Amino acid sequence: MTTSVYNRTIGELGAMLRSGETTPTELTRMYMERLDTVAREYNAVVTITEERALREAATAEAELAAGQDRGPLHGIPWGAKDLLAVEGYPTTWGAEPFRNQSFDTDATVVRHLRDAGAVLVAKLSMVELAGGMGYRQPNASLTGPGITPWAADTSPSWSGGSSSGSGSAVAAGTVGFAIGSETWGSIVTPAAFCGITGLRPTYGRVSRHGAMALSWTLDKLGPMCRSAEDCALVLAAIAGHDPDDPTSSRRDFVWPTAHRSRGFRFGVLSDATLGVQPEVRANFEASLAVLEEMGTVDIVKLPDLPYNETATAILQGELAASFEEFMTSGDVRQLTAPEDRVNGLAALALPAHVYIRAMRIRGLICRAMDELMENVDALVIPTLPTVASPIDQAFDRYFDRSNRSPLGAAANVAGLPGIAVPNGFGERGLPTSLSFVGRAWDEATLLAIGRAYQERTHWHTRFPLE
Amino acid sequence: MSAERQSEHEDVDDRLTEAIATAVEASLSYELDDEARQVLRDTAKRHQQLARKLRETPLTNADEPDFVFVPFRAEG
Repeated sequence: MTTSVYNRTIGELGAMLRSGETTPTELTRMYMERLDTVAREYNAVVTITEERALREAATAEAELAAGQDRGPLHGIPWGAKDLLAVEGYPTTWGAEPFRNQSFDTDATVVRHLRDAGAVLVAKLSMVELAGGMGYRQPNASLTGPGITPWAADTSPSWSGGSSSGSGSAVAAGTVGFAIGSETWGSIVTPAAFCGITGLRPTYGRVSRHGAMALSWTLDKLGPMCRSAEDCALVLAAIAGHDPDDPTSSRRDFVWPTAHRSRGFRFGVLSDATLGVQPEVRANFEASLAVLEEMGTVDIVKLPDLPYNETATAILQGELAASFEEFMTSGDVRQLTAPEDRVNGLAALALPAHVYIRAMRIRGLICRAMDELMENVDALVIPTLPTVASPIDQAFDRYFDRSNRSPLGAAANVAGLPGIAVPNGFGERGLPTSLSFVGRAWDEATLLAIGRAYQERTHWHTRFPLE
Repeated sequence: MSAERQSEHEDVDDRLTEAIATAVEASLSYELDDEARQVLRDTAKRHQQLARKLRETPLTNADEPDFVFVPFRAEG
């Protein structure tokens, strides 16, 4: 069966452009039309950037025709989570009080992708303020609840957040790839619930300049795509030091690397499947059988440290600083989710010594995680204990948060990279997901693992829509 | 933890929680309704529990916070 143009990978779309099977302008128009119809059904779109898209597509077309090839992203339509500044368009942060906010310059990531020849077609929806105010149910955005395209007709379910639109738009075949962000779960969760591949890079790998800051030492930007290979291509375009973001690293990200499909060392957390749904467990165990073909699989245990509390204290301290005036002025009362209007207030009085203690423990966590991973290439775990929750339910009604592994907190506190790949289906026909967490700065190994896993399985080639 | 120790924690928690919630309310330019005031107190109480959990991890004076301050000097 021929894959629909809407579900093709970056490499496949690029081949179509270079063979003349389609043009950047034609492809862009097709994707914009699908964004305006299909993606809106999932509340995935804030703004279609039509004028800019057509201009960039025309430039890409002329350049490719003249033999000026900027690389694999040239002419590929993409979407930006709406916390990324794009000149000339609103940047709403998913929040009603910022509906008409705009900036007069592009975020660095947006500029990198423009320089790579990619075509920006949309600002994609997100949970208001990247979820920092403590939302507890799906309806927490000015664009309404994010809906995963999977089983939407029979069992409408949450897309995951806070990069909700990025997840849905990629899964629904309405962008070639998207850029999302993660402070604590916001790339891997929608990747899991939408059945796509999401990469959370090492903190500092990608410049945050021009992105809304929720938590300066936790926020990361990363690609959300239809495959690990696609994530690698996008990361190669957006990674690198930026003088406008002093936290961005000068370390190189090199891709492609020599093709590696085996010889990996995996560390499976000893409590990886504690409290997970039966299908999540079954799919995880099937995934482990695949990993055993790819290398060695050992059981490991996280050191006993307060990961969740450390992450919470850091996040609360920094969001109180990011949004102090927003909260004290009362503008917070305009947020969509009722709990978002009050849940963040206590952070305003988090004592400095609590935050600093968390930052001291952070150092212990960073070293402990690196020591744990000395003899493994990646830690392995189900991305989430459940499939997506029903769209009309509070999260706590569907899954017990205490069942969530502390690896998410540990990885984000330590700034470690992670990749989530689809690994099957579960309850209500919704996708399940597998996560790998790597050592700091080792995205290349993580992406090689993701690619090798996807060469042996084909979950990433299943799409909810043609 | 003994019941007595637990009770001491709760007593401190309640007083601190109320003090913190009062401080937050004083910083706002608007008044909270009863439901919001309770959410604020519940969250502040969880922060106390969080802080206590963090204090269980032993640290020495040499354990520095994981950020590095670098004095700035312009080029040239």
